[in-house]
Parts: sequence; structure tokens; C-alpha cells
Amino acid sequence: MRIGTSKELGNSLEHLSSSYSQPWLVRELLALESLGKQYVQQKPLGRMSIANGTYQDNPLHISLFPPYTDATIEFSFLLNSCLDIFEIRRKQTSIDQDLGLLHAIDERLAAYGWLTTTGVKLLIIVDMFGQESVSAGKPTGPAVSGLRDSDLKPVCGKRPSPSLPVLMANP
Amino acid sequence: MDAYPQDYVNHNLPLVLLSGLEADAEDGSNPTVDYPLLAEKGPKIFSDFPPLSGSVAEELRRVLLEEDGSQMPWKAGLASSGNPSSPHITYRVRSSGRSYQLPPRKANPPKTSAPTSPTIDSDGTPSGSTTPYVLHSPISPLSPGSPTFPDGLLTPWWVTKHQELVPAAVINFFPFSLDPNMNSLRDNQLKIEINSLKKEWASSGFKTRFLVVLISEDGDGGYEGEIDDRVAGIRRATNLDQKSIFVIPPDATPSELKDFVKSLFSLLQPSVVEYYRDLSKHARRKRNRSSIPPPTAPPTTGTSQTLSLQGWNVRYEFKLGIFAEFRQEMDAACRNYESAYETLFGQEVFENIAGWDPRFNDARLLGDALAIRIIRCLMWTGQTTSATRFWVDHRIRTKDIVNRRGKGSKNYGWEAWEARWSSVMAQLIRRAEISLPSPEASGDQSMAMSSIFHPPEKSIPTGERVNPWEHLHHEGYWLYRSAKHTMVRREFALQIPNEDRMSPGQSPASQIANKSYLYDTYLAPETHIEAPQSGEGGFNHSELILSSLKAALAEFSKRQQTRQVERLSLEIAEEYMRIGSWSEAYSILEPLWSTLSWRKSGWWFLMENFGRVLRESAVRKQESETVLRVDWELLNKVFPSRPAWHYDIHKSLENLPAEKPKPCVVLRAEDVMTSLTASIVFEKSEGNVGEPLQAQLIISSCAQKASAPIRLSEVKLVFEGCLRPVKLQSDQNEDADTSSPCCISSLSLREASSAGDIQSPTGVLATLVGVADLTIGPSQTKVYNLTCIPREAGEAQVASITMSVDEEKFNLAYVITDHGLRDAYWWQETKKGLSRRRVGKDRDTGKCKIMPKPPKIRISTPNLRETYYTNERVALKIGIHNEEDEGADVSAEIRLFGSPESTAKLQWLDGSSNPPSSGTSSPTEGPSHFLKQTIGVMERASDKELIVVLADTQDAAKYSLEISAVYHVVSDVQTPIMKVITVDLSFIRPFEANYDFKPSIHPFPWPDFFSVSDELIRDDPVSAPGGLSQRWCLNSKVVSFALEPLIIDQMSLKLLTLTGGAVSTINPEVLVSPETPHISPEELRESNFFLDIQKITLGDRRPAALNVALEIIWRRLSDESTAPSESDPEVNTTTTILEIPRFVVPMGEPRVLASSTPSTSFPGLLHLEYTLENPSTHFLTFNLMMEASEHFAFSGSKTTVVQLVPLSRHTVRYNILPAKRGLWIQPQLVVVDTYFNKSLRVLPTGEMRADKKGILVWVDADD
Repeated sequence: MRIGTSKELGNSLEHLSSSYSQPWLVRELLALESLGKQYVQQKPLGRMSIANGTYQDNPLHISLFPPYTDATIEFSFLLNSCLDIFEIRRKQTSIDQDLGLLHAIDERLAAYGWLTTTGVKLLIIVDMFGQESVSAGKPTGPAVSGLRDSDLKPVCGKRPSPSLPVLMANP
Repeated sequence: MDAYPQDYVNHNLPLVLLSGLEADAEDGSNPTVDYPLLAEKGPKIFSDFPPLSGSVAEELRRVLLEEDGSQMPWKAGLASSGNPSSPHITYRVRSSGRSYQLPPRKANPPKTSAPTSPTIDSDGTPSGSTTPYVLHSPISPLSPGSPTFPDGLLTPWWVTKHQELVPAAVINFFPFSLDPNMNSLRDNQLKIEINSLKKEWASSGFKTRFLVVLISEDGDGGYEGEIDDRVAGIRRATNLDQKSIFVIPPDATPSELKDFVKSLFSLLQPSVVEYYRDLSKHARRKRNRSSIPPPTAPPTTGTSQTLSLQGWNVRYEFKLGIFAEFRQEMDAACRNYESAYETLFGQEVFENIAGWDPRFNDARLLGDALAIRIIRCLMWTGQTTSATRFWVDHRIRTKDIVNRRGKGSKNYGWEAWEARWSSVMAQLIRRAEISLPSPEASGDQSMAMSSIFHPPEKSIPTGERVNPWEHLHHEGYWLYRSAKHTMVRREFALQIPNEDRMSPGQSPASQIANKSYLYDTYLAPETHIEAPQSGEGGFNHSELILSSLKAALAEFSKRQQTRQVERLSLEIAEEYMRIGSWSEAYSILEPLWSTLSWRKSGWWFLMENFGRVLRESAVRKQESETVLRVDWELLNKVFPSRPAWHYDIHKSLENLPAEKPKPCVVLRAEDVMTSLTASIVFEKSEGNVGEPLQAQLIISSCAQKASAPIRLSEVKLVFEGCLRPVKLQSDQNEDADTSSPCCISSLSLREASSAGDIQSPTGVLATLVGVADLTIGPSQTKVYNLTCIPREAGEAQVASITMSVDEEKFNLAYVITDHGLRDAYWWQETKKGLSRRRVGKDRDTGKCKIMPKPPKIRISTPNLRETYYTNERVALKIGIHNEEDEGADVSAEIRLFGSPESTAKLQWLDGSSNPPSSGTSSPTEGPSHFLKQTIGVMERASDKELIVVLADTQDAAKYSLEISAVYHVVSDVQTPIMKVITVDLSFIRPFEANYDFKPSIHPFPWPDFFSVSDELIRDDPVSAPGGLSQRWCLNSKVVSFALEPLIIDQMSLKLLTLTGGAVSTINPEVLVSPETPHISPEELRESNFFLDIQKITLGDRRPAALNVALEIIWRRLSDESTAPSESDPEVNTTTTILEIPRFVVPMGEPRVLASSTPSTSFPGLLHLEYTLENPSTHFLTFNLMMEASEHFAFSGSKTTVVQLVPLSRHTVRYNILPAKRGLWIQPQLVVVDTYFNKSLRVLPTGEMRADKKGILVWVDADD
């Protein structure tokens, strides 16, 4: 598995945005997938409820990628538990839009989070192993030695402006 | 970590033995320590010296044992001085009796003699002289009979020996007598005892540090110098150095003891470190030898293979690491461990061990122990990420070697290890007390992050890629991972085929052998225990899973990861249900259900899972209330529907036994999801007391598409404020419409029958009851039109809507009390079907303001006119009509507003005005501007007429009249009701007039000089005026300013004053035009009034001043027909008085009056007469000259002189024949008073006119 540099990510995003008329979410997800991530899940969450002034963290969009396409419930739990960390972080003073690593569920899956100014939460769960490639005779470590927060930055940083209507249209 | 031998993995602390104090019960006999040949062969330290007793000894023992560091956190402690470079070593402190059992240094010689080579002892000490064998430690791989013989790596006993059995230091406590008589005897006893103990320790071969503490006994101990001398004596006799002997005074306080212990241990530290350094040196020497020592006897059984050199190196490095750990040199220990670890996993050690060999598992155990120790060392130095990396590495390496050399990683044994490996990490984290601050305490973001996981340590370069998992997460994650692996382990265990599950006694030997190849039993039970065939008595996976999950739960909840807590609770409950512990599952889930965060944030998927599990456990526990709650919520269509599930709330408890009393559940809308929503919308934001108020109750279903309709038994509406509660009851219609998306029905509400309605003491308002179709199908909306009649004013608001389902087996009520602002719609039936429109955009549609009852008394002013005229007497009729449903007690008040200074008067028709005592009129308004009358009770639909009279309106102004009826209905005396109307009255002047005073010729002759009337002679001068008279004509032109025709009944001139000694006679009006009494708007009415002014005394020459006024008596034209009081026309006539400017009559001046009369005989001829008057008492001479004119011819004297005696007049005549007809001619007669040489003005009379040049005479046209 190969991790693209930020520039590569950005380029592929741009490339994809020109070829897809789908909303940005789809574009980003495809971008990540094309970079060889086995599993990327992204989910904007949250909506400012005017009535009570709190965020309601209902899921807006969840997409699963192979080989996890059937693990809907499992990943719903995972995503939901990430909201705890949004909550904990939010208690702190001045949090950035980019929350970076939220937590790692185990040595394989890690959750990254973003918070837009409109209160929409974005979560990406990355499979750090990628395709299992056990070769006999050699210890197999994680395919990637690590992931910097900056590696995922372009995913949200490059978000095109039409994102807003898309989000608002969500109930 | 419990699966590992404790000593193998625990942190090592130097063992300090307390000898001579009371032994601990458990420490006395060392029952826990199992060591080969311990009792048989180990050297025993023996003493029968009695143990110390007394309070000081007890206290000292307690303080010493407090210093025991075995439960201390596994992290670097700070020295008491705070200097981290010289860490304060904590000790393992044990108290034993005076006797102590040490482990044997040498194993027994092998029973069968074998040829040995005379080599040096592996321990480097001279070998025992009695045996030809080179003896080694009983646990060495060199000693036959050792568990490691011949090729084992290491046994945990080795660590046990150093940690538990061989002390680094022994502190002997002895009594120190202060009795002067016994001193020398006791001192000698002490010397003997100490010497013997020292000898025994020395002969054991262990280089344990030997210390003596003397505890002074009570007694007057003599002077200090003596004690010092005695102690020095003992020291010399026993050959102890100065730092090895201490004395405690008899009266030592606990704090002094504490200080003593502290200093004792810090004094001990260098020698203890030295002790372990010696051991390290020994081990290092052996390692550096780099040759394999031969065993005591060559192996005779099994493989003849002995431990390889690399294996020995693992041993030595491990030992070095342990000794370094004893010295608390964790960096050094870590290096040794890592070296041992690398060697172990290197080519020559692990790789050479066959998977079936028990040594393979021993090696794994050593590997795990090394890994644990390395991780601990890394955590000790704060390298959390490195520690996690090592954890991951070890897992990968182990998996790799197990896959290649062992039994693979696809069996329960591997998963058991995985689970254990995770929980070990959790335990390490806990023991290391790695500070993961709670989120509240931390301020900045890095701290916030570290409540979940640790940021990478500083030694890791910032640019380096760090795997997410390598941020050390808190224990919860590890425990949860452990639980997950235990679950997988169970999966594998359940897949074990039946024949493998039999206990070894039952299965054939071949199978047992087969089994040992198949199943990994490293620290895991055999297959027949892991998954026994009988299904009972085997390994309890659930217990392990539950304990891990619960421990994880505690960690997550400590960090407010509520959602994760909910998830774990669900898993715990599922696990409980798996083992059939329904009530445990229930008790875990039930408290969470009501506050589930997934409900608030709409994670329906997860919530549905939770609900299903809860319902299942509740059904098993027969908690019917919970079943109902869950069913009600899961009925909502947001939840994914289960195809096989029959959604019907009514059959919720079908499978449960009926309960007595039947369960009654009240659900509050804010707590639960609901399948039915209800709202009340008021059509308008305001309503009136007593008037129907339209509202709609909208019940809509958001139930699952496939669900059965919900049959509500009743719906209760309770209002805050003044609306009566409403209760809708089901019509019990079995075939109600449940398919059409929306229905509207209008309800008629009636009073609740008094029999069934017991009013609560608080509820004053009786309930209204209606019957309606309350069966709601899925996705159906039913709208009920309600009409309520409020009885009180105020704010009305929906307080609660309660929907009840009454079933045979249960009662369920759903209460909505929080009516948040929602889009409100009003449903209507239109031509196109049902439609809804948005109402109440900017108001709370659940609220309605009830206004007070509107006054139903009507006030009318039937004869109000648009305009009134000044001085008119306005009789205004006020009609009061009672349109209330019942009688009313009314009183009327009338107020006049306008100009407060006006003279206008308000009074009743009978002339009475208000009693002055009525204090209701404000001080600003005079009493004449306020009227009040109590009318009394007016029956229903009765009328009452009042007439007020407004008089004396002198000024043209606008007034406003406020008429108010204050009343209360007979049935309700408390509520005053007021009806007020205001009418405007505008007053204008009806007439304006112009006046012209014209002289006339008085027809009567002037007094005669020659005849004296009798009256003049009489004494009474006043009786008749005797002066000269003048006649004047007042010509008035009255213009009507009224807006309507008026009838002028009379017009007359009123003399107001006349000064100057004159009397006046005013003749009645001579109407000039028009000829009728009517005067239309803006019409002019001209009239003449003749006044005769006569001086009372003759010869009075003062001018007379005349003040007169024109008085017009008039009435309205319309009055004639409409006025009801026609019989009394006085009432309707109005007298308007117009002021006439003051007129001064010069009575003493001579004047010339011209008058003309047409000739009766000769048409066109005018007789023009000039009358010259001399009212003065002088002779006057006038020159008269008639000027010729082209317009006429005249006859008469052209020029003449008239001499007038005093008080006389004379007339000069001219006949004038005008040249033309039908025009004004101007005869010019110049009259000059010769005495004053002044020409007199000729004054016209009658029809004549005058201009600047003189008089004008009209010449009539031809007939």
C-alpha cells in the first residue's frame, strides 16, 4: 500500500472533481480509495438544531468500502464512539477544525475527525493495514509505518465550495 | 497477567528481611513459595532468641512494613530529596521470625553415577568436596532433575529465588537492656547470638547484608556515653561495621521511628545496590566466558541436546536485566532484556525449538516475560509510543513464530494469548499509573488528547510516521480488545470437533497425540476443558469476556466516553443473555435505555439493536413495562424494520402472563421516541370569553409501515390557563379508516356526566368529553376539530396531551408536555381534498390569549346630528340596549370633553344635573360636564332611553361626548363590564350678519315754539320725553351659515343700552327679502328696523350711544316632523343673538336729509326734498345751490339761502325730470353753513344711496 503525499491527494481530488458531478463527499471518498486505502469511511455528522442550540449528532452519510461493506452495524458503533471524543475535545479551549487523530480502535483501524464551522463533523476511519499481505518467513508489520495527520488534511482541506448546500440539504 | 508466574513478570524490588520482630502470619512459613529442594537441602538460619515485643517493636514493625514497595506503581519514584538522578529504591520488606529457610545453592547429585569431567563449577565457587559431581543450582539446566535440564532456557523459580527467598539484606532486631544490673550479661548474650547468626548467614553462601538494630528496653538507661560504649563493645565483638548497627531509644515516638526507618533504608541503599552489582558481575563474567558449561550429568532421557550458547546468553542477559531492575536501573535493565529478547527470537534459540516440544511454550513464556519487562521499562521511562510499538512487535513476532514453528494462529490457544496480551497491556498501563488526566482537569488540547491516548514521546522525531495505535491509548481500549479476542477464542473453541473434546481418559491415545499437534495449549487449557463435550464445567469464556468488558467499561466511563459505554453495556448484556443471565442483562440495559445518547442523536440503527436486546431480556424477565416501552419506541419508522417482526403494540404482551394489577406505563414525550405525535393548534392567537374557540388536535403516526394500527382508548388534553380539559374517547369502531393518509373529523364536546366524573380538588374545571375515531394507522394523520368555549380571560396554553392505550393486559399512556415550536398547520377540507396551510408563523400555536368577555350592551345615539349650532339646546337621545343573555345592572355615565372653560352645560332632560357629591368627575371637568345615572337592572333584550341636554353652547367648538355604560350581568356580580362610546359634537354659528344704520326723516313734527304741550309744564319731567326725535333705519343682512334650511320664527332688535339721555322706540322687523320664514344655507335675509330716538330734554345736544342686538328665533326645519315634543315648540326653537356694533347718534348737529318721491301725476318726475334740520339753539344760515346736471332737469331755486331758527327744520323741494330712465342720477345740492363756512353733507334716506360725491337717486324705468 502506498500513501500519497498531500499533493498527490490534492491532485487526484481535483482530477476527480472534474470527472464527477456527484457531491464532494463521493469525490473525496473515491479519491482516498484510489490511493489504495482499503477502507475509508467518511461521515459528516451533526446539525445545528435551532430549537435547543445543541448539536444533534445524527448520521448524515455513511459509506463503507470493501472489504467492510457488510459491517454496517460494527462501523456504526465505531463511528458513534468517535463522537465521544468530539465531545471531549470540544470542552477544551479553541479547537481547530482539524481534530486529527481521534483514537485508534485497535492496531488496524484509526479514526480521524474534522469539524466544520457549521458544526458538521466529518469522520474518516482508515484501515492501517490495507490488504493483508502475509508472506511466510518474514514478520509482517503494518503495511504503513504510520500516518501523519497532515496526510489526511487534503481530504477535507480541498473540499470544494459546493459542499455547503449539500450539507444543508441534509435533514 | 495472572496467567504468568508472578515473579516472572512482576517488577523486582530488593528483598529486605526483618528478623526478630513478630513474623507475619503468611510470611512465617513461606507456604506460597515453591522451590525445589527448599526444605530438604536449603541452609536454615536458626535462632531460638525470642522475638521482640512491646509497643516500640510493634510500631517499628508497622513502619517498616509500610515501606514495602511491592504495591507501588511501576514508575520512577522520586527520591525524598526530589533528585531524580539518584532514585530512591523501594524495597520488598518481609518480616520473619528469627529462623529463616534459604534456598539450596546446589542440587542433589544425580542418583546414578556418571562420568564427569573435572571442570570448574559453573558458579565459580569451589565444588563440594564430598562428591565427584560438579553440582549446580537445582534450577540450572546443568543439574539433572532441574526443570530446565538439559536444554531449558529459564524457569520462573530463578526470579522467585531472588525476589522471595534470598534477601539482599537482613535486619536483625534485638533487645538492648538498660537495666544496669543485667547490662553485661545481656550484652554478652547479644554478642553470642549475633555472632552465631552472622556465621550462619555467611555459611549459607549468600552475601546478604547483615544489619543489627538494638531496641532499648525500658529502664533508666544510664548516661549516653555508657550506651555508646556498650554498643561499640558489641560491634567490636561481632565485627560489624559502624553502619550496620543501630540503637533505638526506649521512648521513641512514631515520628522518630519513621525518620529512623527512612534513614535506615537510605543507609541500606548503597549496600543493597552493591549486593546486586556483585550478582550482576558474576552473571556477566559467566556470559563473557562464551562457552557452554557442561552439565552435572549428561542427559540420559529424551533428547540429548543441551542448551545452546545463544540460549545461555539469553539466560545471562535476563539475569543481568533482573539484577539491574533490582537496582532500579531501568535503562540498563531494558538494554539487557532487549538483548535477551533479540537473542531469544534470533536464529539459534526459538528457531531451534520444535513446536511440539514443551520447551517451545517455555520459550514463549520467557518471551512474554521479557516483552512485559521491556514494556514496563519503556513505560517507566515514559516512552509510551515505544512501549506500544514493542507490544505490537511482540505480537507480530509471536504470531509469526507460532505460525511457522508452532500450531498456528487459527485456534483458540492463539486467541487466548491475544486476549491475554491485550489485558497484560492494560494491566501494565494501570500499574505504571500513566497519567491520563481526566478531561476536566486538563486545559490545553494536548492534554485533552491524552485523556484518550498519549502523544508520542519527545524522543520520537516529530516528522516520523506514528501509527495511530502507537499512541498509547488508555486501558479501556486494551481491555476491550482483549474481550474481543476472547470472543473469537470462544468461536474457535466451539469449532473443536467432538472427538477432541473428550477427556484424556476417554479418548484413545492416538487421538491425544494428535491433539497435541493440533491445539495450542500455551497458557490455555486442553481441549476437553476449553470446550468439554458435556458442555459443563469447562472454561468459562463468558466470565472472562464479561470481566474484560466491565473493566473496559469502567475505564471508558471514567473518561466520559458515554457512547462507548453504551456500546459496551450492550455487549455485556448480550454476553449475559448468551449465558442466560437475563436479569443481569436486563439490569445493565434498563437504566441506560431512558438516557440513551443514540436516541438523542438519531443513531436509530444502534438504538434498534439496543432495544431488541433489552426487549428480549425484558421478555425473559417478564418485565412487561419495559417490553411496552421498547415496543412503543421501536414502532417508529425511523428504525430499520425487521421483516419477521409483527409490529403491534396491542399484542406486545401477548406472550407474557397477565399480571395483576395490570402494568401501567406512562411515557413522557421528551424521553422516548414515539410512534404517535400529537399537537394542538389554535386557529387564532386570540379568543374571547364565552365565544367558541377553534382548535385542532392533530395526531399523526410515524409507525412502521407494516405495523398494525394503534387503537387509542382515549386522548386527554389539559390546558394551562382557563380552558377546560378535554377528553376524547374512542368510539370503539372496529373498522375505522386506517389507510387514508389524513382524516378530519369535527367533534362535539359535552359535559362529562357528573356520575363518572369525580373532580379532583385541584381541578376546578370540569372535563369536556367527546367521542372520536382514535384508531391511527401507520403514517396516518387524524385531525380533530375542537370547539371550546373559554370561561375566563387569560393565557391558555396546552399543558399536556395524553394518549392512552387501554388493553386487557396493560395500560399505556403517552404524555406530551413539551410543545416545542414546530411548524403548525391548519387542516381544511377543500375542493381538492384535504389540504393544510401554514398557520401561526410568528406565534406559538399552542397558545391562545383569551380576552375578557366583550360588552354586549349596545349604546346608540339615534338623533345625533352632524352639526349643532351655537346656543342650540341639544337634546341627545341615548339608547342603551341590553343584548346580553341575561339581565344586567347598568349605570350610565356621560362625560363632555372639549374646551373645559366653555359654558356649555350638560344636564338631564328634566334639568337636573348631577349631585355635586358624585365624586367621579375629575377635578378638571366641572360638574356641568359630567352626568351619571344608575339605570338599574335591565332585563334581557330590553332598551332604555336617556336624554341628555347640552345647552348654553356659546362658542363654536367641537365637543366630544363619552357615553359609558358600566354594568354587570345579574349572574356574575364580580365582573364589571364597561361599554364606552364616544360621539363628537361640533357646534357652529348658524348666522352671521351685516348692519347698516341709515338716517330717516321722522314723520312727526318737531316741537312748536308757539304751542306748549301740557306735559312740558308739568312737574314730572321724566314722564314723557320732550326732546327732539330722530328716526334711524337699521338695515340688517343676515346670512345663514347653517348646513340646512332653517325656519326663522322671529327676528327682532333688542335694545341693550342707550346712553346720552335719550329714549328709543324700536319698531318691528320690516322684511325686505325674502318673503318666507325659511332661510336656506348661505341665503341672505335682509330686513329693516326703524328706531326712533328721542331726547328726553329739549336742547340736550349730547350724542346718544346705542347698543342693540339682533335676536333671531329659529328652529330646524326637520324638527317639525321628527321632534317628538311637537306640542312644545319652545323646546325646539333656538334664540340666536347677534351683537350689533355700537352706534352713536349725533343729536345736536345740523343735518340735511334728502328724500325723493316719484310724482304720482307725471311719470318720470321726481320730487326731491331736502330737509334741513337745526337741532341746535343757534340761528343758522345755509346757502343752498343746486348744481345743474346733464342727466336731469330740475325746477326749484337754483340758489337760495335758508335761515333756521334754533330747534327748527325746513324742507326745500325740487322737481327733477331725468333725461334718461332706469339709472341712478346724482343731484348735487351744495349746502354751506355760512356761519362756520362749512358745507354739510346731504344724507340719503329711504331708497336713496350715497357715494363720495353725494346722494344717488334711482330713476325708475318706464312702466
